Amino acid sequence: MEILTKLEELILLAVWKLKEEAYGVSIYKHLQKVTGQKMSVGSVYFPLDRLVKKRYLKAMKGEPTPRRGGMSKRYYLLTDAGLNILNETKKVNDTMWDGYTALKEKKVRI
Amino acid sequence: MNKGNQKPPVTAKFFLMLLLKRSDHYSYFGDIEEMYNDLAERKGLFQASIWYWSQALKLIPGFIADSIQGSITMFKSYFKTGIRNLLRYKFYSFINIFGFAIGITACILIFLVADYVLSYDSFHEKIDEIYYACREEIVPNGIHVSYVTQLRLIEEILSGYPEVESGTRIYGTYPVVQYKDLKFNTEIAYVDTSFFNIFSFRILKGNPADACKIRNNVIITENIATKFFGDEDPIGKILNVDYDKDFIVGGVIENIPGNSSFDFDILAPFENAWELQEVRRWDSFSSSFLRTFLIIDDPETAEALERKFSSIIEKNLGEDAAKEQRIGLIPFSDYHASRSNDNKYAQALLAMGASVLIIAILNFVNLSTAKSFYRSREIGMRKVLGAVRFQLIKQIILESVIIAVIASLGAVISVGLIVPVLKDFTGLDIMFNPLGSVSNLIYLVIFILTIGIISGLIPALYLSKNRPVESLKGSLKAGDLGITLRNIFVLVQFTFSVILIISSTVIWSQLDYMRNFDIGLDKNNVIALRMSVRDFPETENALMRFETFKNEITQGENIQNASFSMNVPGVNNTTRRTNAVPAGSSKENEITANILVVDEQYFETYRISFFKGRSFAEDYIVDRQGRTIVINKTMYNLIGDSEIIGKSIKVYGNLHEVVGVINDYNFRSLHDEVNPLVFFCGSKNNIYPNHLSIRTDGSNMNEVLKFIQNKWGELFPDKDFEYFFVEERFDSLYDTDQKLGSVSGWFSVISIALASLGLYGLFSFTVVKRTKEVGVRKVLGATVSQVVGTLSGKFVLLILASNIVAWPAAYYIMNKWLQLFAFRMDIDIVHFLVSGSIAFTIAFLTIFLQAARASLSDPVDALRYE
Repeated sequence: MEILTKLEELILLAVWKLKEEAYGVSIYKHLQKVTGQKMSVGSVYFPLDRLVKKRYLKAMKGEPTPRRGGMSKRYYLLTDAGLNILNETKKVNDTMWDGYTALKEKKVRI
Repeated sequence: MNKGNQKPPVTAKFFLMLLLKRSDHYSYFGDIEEMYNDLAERKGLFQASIWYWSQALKLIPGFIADSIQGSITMFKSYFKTGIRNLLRYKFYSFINIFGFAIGITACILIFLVADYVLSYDSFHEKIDEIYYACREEIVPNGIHVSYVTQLRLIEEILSGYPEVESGTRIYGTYPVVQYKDLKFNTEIAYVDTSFFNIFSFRILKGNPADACKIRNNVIITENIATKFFGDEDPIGKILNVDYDKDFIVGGVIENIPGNSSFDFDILAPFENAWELQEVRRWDSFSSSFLRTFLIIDDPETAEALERKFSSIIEKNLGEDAAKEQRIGLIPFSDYHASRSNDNKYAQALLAMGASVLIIAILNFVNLSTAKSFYRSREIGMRKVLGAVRFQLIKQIILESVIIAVIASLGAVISVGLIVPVLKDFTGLDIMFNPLGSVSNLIYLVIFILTIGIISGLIPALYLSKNRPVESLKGSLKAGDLGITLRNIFVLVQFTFSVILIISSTVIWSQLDYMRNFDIGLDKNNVIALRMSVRDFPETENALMRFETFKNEITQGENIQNASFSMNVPGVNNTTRRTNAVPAGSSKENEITANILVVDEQYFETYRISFFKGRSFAEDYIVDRQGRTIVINKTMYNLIGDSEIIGKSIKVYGNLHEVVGVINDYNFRSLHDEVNPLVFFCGSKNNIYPNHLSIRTDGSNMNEVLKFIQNKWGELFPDKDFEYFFVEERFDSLYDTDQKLGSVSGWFSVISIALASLGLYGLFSFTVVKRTKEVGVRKVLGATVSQVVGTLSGKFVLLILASNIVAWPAAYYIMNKWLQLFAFRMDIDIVHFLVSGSIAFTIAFLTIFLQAARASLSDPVDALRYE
């Protein structure tokens, strides 16, 4: 099984959660909300392209709106392979995190 | 979602559009605009715009990485095909690379020389503010400019004219300088304290602030420091000058660059010059003998200053004098150009280098377009596979850059090898060090790339034009469109070559003309020795020993006679000039004449013939007393009095009787007219001889020299024996012309060789292309000569046409060059005919052999391959 990068993993999860509403802006906003991190828009697109290339995601052309300067959206859908890899990743993550309890010690500021 | 719709900044949008060419990023473009609208609603337009811009700018690094990756892949492919093409057509690659290498070599060499000459004195930081004063005198035959000025001119200028910031005098002498046992004649320049504020000579040792300020301190050059002191520290050492004065070495400066107008070994504070006899003697406003340099901040005031300076003349010499002479200011940057023809020669060299480079570039263009026939299939295939025209242009230009780079490597190596030879040949202190500084390297790279791109451009535009279907089918006629262009190029190449050949023949003829010109004296078999009383501590004693030496020498075998004089003819040093007025005549009839001091045997030694009157002779006491003069015929003609013998002329304020008139002789080079001359006799005028000229009969030269040297050793055991042949000195006057002649000769050879090489390549294409035609012609009964005629006819016409273009151009250029000579030959039609036929013969031979081979071949072979 292939090990995804954290960003790829997060993006796949975001697409799964957003269902039919998963396109560039919504994915980006969702990620920003969950992680609380500021990131550049571009940083979402390269992993998205990569995931499409690996066939975990499927891209579909959507409707153009005036708000987008007349350009169409590009929706992403999770493929079966994408679902599979998410399941496997979850399994690995669970195993890895098993038995871990949140540390009580002082937080180390990075 | 469908609320207000704001437009993002146009430039940023355009920018994004540029960066996001790839279609799968199209949605990204929409996303970004949507977010921009969101942000505009929440935080305002300004913030949103900034955000939009930042998004665009963030894309740049990725974009660059992307495009480099893409082009590297293509670059590899182009490079590979380029090299393959080079190897496939070895002969044409050779012509191209060889031609380019020669062209570039020539160009770099010429550039080095021209740069050296044209950058004369430019190492002075204040070059644009430095002016030098000159004296302009209005004389009946025009304005006479002399570059030496009065002793006290600078004091007048600095005290009266605030526009002039500072200034310095420079007075050069050539005395004996002694340190312990070492003695050398050395150039000492006496300068004022502001010398180092004006000129930029770098001080290596010693305190620059004190330079030229402490009275007994001198500054010496590195060369002189090693000559006298070797590895020892020169600071504080004592140098004796002229057996008289001791100086302490206070500093050492860097050696003076070769392209400096000044050349001195030692700098001494000017205060010391006052102790020199001649300086004291010439301390008046009517004597000019030293150079004056000034710093003027604002160059625009220079002209106004020149006018204001007339009051200086008025004050010191009276109102009348102010009408006849003025003080001029000449920018120091023109100093070298105004005193020599070097700049004109440098320009001539640049033109020659450029011609050769153009011929080499045209060779390349010509052959590449002709070669297109063979390559049309490759180009067609590339087009079918989706190459756009721009890509093809890139590819072909890259190929020519590859050739240019290979050729340049060859050129750089050969330049490195040639520079030492060139240094000897030109006597110029040129250097070639492409890796020496970053800027040199950058210039070289830019130069190579430019040549590569320029020469690749025309073939690229032309080749990429072919339509793929035709070129793949093979129905494309080889370079139909290129033919006119190629013919023009051949025309241009041969025009340049013919111009160069004509120039060389004209230059050679002029040199020959000067060599055989009857200059009015016999310069052959005269040995000149440097004998100056200044080199000896005691003047009277030295003069006596000189006389003894001369008497003993003339006893020698094969020696006819000998004479002392101040100057030797053919040496281009400035002889003293003064104004002479015939007695009883008004001041308007004043003539500026050169003064020469000679002894009684001078005219005999040099075999100068008399037009009228007598020579100086020992029987006449008046001669030795300096009361008589001999003049030359130019002077005689200017005076216009046929009964001049026995009359007097006022020279140096005294009347002198004219006893003889000599026929004109060229005492300087044939570049210059013969000036009026006044000869004084003997050494009683406080003007002592500098040279002894010895006339020999020309046989047993070695023994004669040995004899003279032995005598010298007996009488002057502690002096170096310095001699030269007057004839050689005369020849050296034409050194530059001689060098120009041989350089242009070489360039003619190179250019005609390159042009013929190109023609050969081009013609071989024609022959291959027309093989079938030749076969058909022969089958139908054409004779060999007819076929040769058809094949080469067009080229023959081209060469003839190039002659027609070249002749007037060459005439114009050479006529200009000949203006540099006062004595010049006439340009003859023979020069043109000879040069034209040389070019024509070479070109014809180049194509004739191939044409003959093609027409002699069996037509069956030519026709069979269908």
